[in-house]
Amino acid sequence: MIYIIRHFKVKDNSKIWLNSREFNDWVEKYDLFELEYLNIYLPSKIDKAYVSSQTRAIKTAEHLGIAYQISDLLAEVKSKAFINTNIRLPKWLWLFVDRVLWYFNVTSYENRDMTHKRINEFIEKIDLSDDIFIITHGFFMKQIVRKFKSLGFLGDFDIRPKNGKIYELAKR
Amino acid sequence: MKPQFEIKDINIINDILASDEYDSVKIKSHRILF
Repeated sequence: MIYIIRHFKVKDNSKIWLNSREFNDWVEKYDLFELEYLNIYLPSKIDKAYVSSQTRAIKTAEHLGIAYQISDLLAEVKSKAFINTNIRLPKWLWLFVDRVLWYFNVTSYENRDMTHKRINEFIEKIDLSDDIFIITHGFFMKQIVRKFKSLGFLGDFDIRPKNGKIYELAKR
Repeated sequence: MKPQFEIKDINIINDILASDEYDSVKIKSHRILF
């Protein structure tokens, strides 16, 4: 069984309109913002827990009080300004364009192929017959769940993963 | 010849909306609208 959870929700009150430098700064700071902690019931049996190396995921693991291993392979796909400009654009536009460029593999940093490569690398490192608990991030979770499903795992998921909700994937 | 963009590619929209940083965008948008 694979249990996968998106870290607790980040409290973010930063401004909407950002230039490229402000956007990149915000992405860095985003990982350090406070979280909205929840008390949730954990699965009765967890053989191994893997947690993204980003602060918000580690804080989530600490709050849950589980023994875990940190993995860079579970980090959120990095967002970065697609142009350098002093013109302020809405955050959603920065994010949207950046992800579309990721999808078409035209980003100079992490692109879609690279994300799939690290997903494969992670899956090669784990034993899929164990009961595994994973703490990761929204966009990355969508990608890794798609991969697990292609390997024969089944489970119900929300279109947009909810923070702090445990999703289960069972082998068919 | 394979088309550049297929219907299944629309999944990227939901993936984008699931991005961590996009969460705060949604919160702010709601504040503006309501």
